[in-house]
Parts: sequence; structure tokens; C-alpha cells
Amino acid sequence: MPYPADPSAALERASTPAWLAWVEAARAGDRAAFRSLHRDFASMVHGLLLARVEPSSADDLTQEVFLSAWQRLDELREALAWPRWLAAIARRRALDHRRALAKRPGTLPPELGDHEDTTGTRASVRSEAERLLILIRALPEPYVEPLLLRLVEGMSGPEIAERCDLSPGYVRVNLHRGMKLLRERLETKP
Amino acid sequence: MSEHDDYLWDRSGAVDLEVARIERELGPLGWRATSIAIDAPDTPLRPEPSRSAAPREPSRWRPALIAGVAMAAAVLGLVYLARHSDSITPASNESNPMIQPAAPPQRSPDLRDPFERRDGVRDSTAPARPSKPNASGQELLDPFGSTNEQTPTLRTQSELKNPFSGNPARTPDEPATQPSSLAGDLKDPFARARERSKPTSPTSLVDPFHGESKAPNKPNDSSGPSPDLKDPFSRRD
Repeated sequence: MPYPADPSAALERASTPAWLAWVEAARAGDRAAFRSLHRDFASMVHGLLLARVEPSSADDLTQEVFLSAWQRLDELREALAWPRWLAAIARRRALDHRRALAKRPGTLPPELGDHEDTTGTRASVRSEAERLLILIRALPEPYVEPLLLRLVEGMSGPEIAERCDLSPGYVRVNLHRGMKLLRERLETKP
Repeated sequence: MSEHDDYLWDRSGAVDLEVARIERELGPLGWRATSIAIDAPDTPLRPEPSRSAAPREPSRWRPALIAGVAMAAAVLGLVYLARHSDSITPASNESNPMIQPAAPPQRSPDLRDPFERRDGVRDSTAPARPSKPNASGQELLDPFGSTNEQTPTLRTQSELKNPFSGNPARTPDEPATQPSSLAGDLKDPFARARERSKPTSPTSLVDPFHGESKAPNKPNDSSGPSPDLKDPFSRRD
């Protein structure tokens, strides 16, 4: 197998994420490139939203996050910062959504409802999926996002590290520690 | 690192049954790929709730806002009146209740003229006012009792003279004299115009129905119409 002419260039090409060119093109106004970004990053945004909002609201909020990103794309100074920038928009949008729900009369704050009972045995829980989701949300914060991205969105550890702009070691450790804690809670509170 | 950990990391190695079960349970909550409509980026995804749908709560600041506007209007009105009062004539001061008329200068009761009558007219027949020396022995002058004082003096009817003719003034019972006798050398500037407008004859009236003036001393005077004029209503025969 022949070696590439320039090993450093080949290494650079390999380390360059595929979405970087889409971000550059989208900043220039390319809608097709932004649709590619949406296709690749929508599951990541959806997983980050699921860690904070109800599943029924996560789909609409995901689209709103991408629309907001499209309208404010000129504020992105570096294309490499795209995953972190998009994740920040998603987390802020989830926070705004919770605040808006808390201001509505007759509505309990969602965080109060989630943390009131971490066993997932409330009467309002209608499925095993919702019970598991409540259990994962009750875990320490560093474990929640990696576990949801892995178990709900189906992303692998390396994908999570790349999409969220995190180190693979950090993601791997948090995945295993979070899974271990979840197993313990599932055994104690079946 | 066990094989179960590898499955959790990148789905390699032996399948972790617990992880696989949780994946199956949570799978329906995951993202279902849909396309995004960015052709109209300014169009919101969800329509804005109409304002008429929900009753709008009254603002807490509304009373304060109304009071502030009212106070500002009052201050502006006062400033406008204060600036405008400078340009108001004294005659119109009476109708403006905001402007107080200037109080008439009042004399000190110590300086009241003892010879002055109640109507403000000083009797010239009264004896001269005695001057009093002050403590230093100097004679004080009455500022109101100088010889050049302008207060009117009482004169008899015979002492009064007509300022134009020099004749004695007429009494109220006397008939008024003709203007020409008062100032014979004055000319009436409207005399010529009055002469022109004076009618030459009292009978030179124009008959509006005949359109011709009839003068009685005219030589060709006739009671019938002028031969030049024809009666439009007369028959030809």
C-alpha cells in the first residue's frame, strides 16, 4: 500500500472534520450546505434538548435551534467552533423554554416535576421509555448528555466526542461511569 | 476495559444486553430525521399568538405613566403662561386672572398732605404749607408742596379761558358756539370735497325706471320719454 506523498497533509486531511466545509459554505449563504449540517447535527441538538425539556417539545425546539443558527450564522467567527456554538444555542433555547413554561399560570416548573421523584414511578409516566429518561436525567450532569446521546440518539462515543467538540477520553469515562450508576439505580428501583 | 465497555463505546465487541435493552426502550424518543425549511428564514415555525386571544394584563406602569404625562402637561402650561404674560398688554391684564395688577403707589401716612381734599384736588386758596425744621435745624422741603407742583388748583369760572380763542369759557348752560367762530383762520380740509358732493339742485334725482335725470329748469323738458329712447313694451303701432 503506497504511502501518501505528504504524510502531514494526509494527517491534516484526516483530522479535518467533514462538516467544516459545510460550515464555510453555509456562512457564504449555501442552503444545501446548511441542510447537510442539519442532517448531521440534528440528533446531537435533539439529545441536548432531551436532557432539559420534555420529549414532546424537543422536536420543535430542534428545528427552532437550527433556524436560529441559520439566521445568526454571521456571528460565528470560526468555523471550527460550530459544534460548541450550536450546542450553546440549544442549551440556551431549552432554558428559555423552561422559563416560559414556568411563567404560564397553572403550570409546574418542569425541573420541579423531574427532580421531585427520581424513581420514574409517577402516575404521569405512561411508558418505560419515559421512566428511563427520568432516571437518566436524575444522574449527575456530566453523565446525562453523553448517555442520552448514546442510548437515545444512537451515536457512538467517537461521534459524541466529535459532534460535541469534547475529548474522546472525557466522553468515554463519563459514558461508563454514568452507565454504571444507571445500572445501580435500575437494580435498586426496578 | 471489558468487552461490554467496548459495546457501550463504539458498539464493538460483545453485546451488552442491558445496554441493548435500554437502547430499544429509548429508541422511539430519538430524533426522527426531517428536513428543515430554511427557504423562508424570517417565517417563524409557530405562529405568534394573537393579542386578542388572551386578555392583556393591565400594565403596572400605566397609572404612573398617566400621572407623569399629566404633570408634564401642567408644567408646560405654566411655562407657556409665564412666558406669554410678558407680551400681554396692561389693558388685557384685567381679563387675565393669572396676572395681578400692579398695586398703586401708596404714600406713607406720615407724608399725607393735610391740605389735600378727599378728591385729590389741592385747594390753592389754602395758606402755604408751613415748613418744619428738623433736628439739625435745617428746613425740610415738602416734596409735594413745591411751587411747581402739578396738582390741579381750583379756579373760578371767570378765571378759566378757552385755550383756542382766549375767550372766557362757556358755562354748561351756554349754547355751543360755531366751530368757525372758535378758530377763524383754520381751514376745513374737507370743505372742497363737501362742496363737490353737495347737490346742485334738490330735484336732480335720477328716475331709476327712466334712466334719465329730470331737471325742472331744463329747456327741452317734456313729460314724455326721451325721443332717443324707445319703450320696449310699447307696441309698434
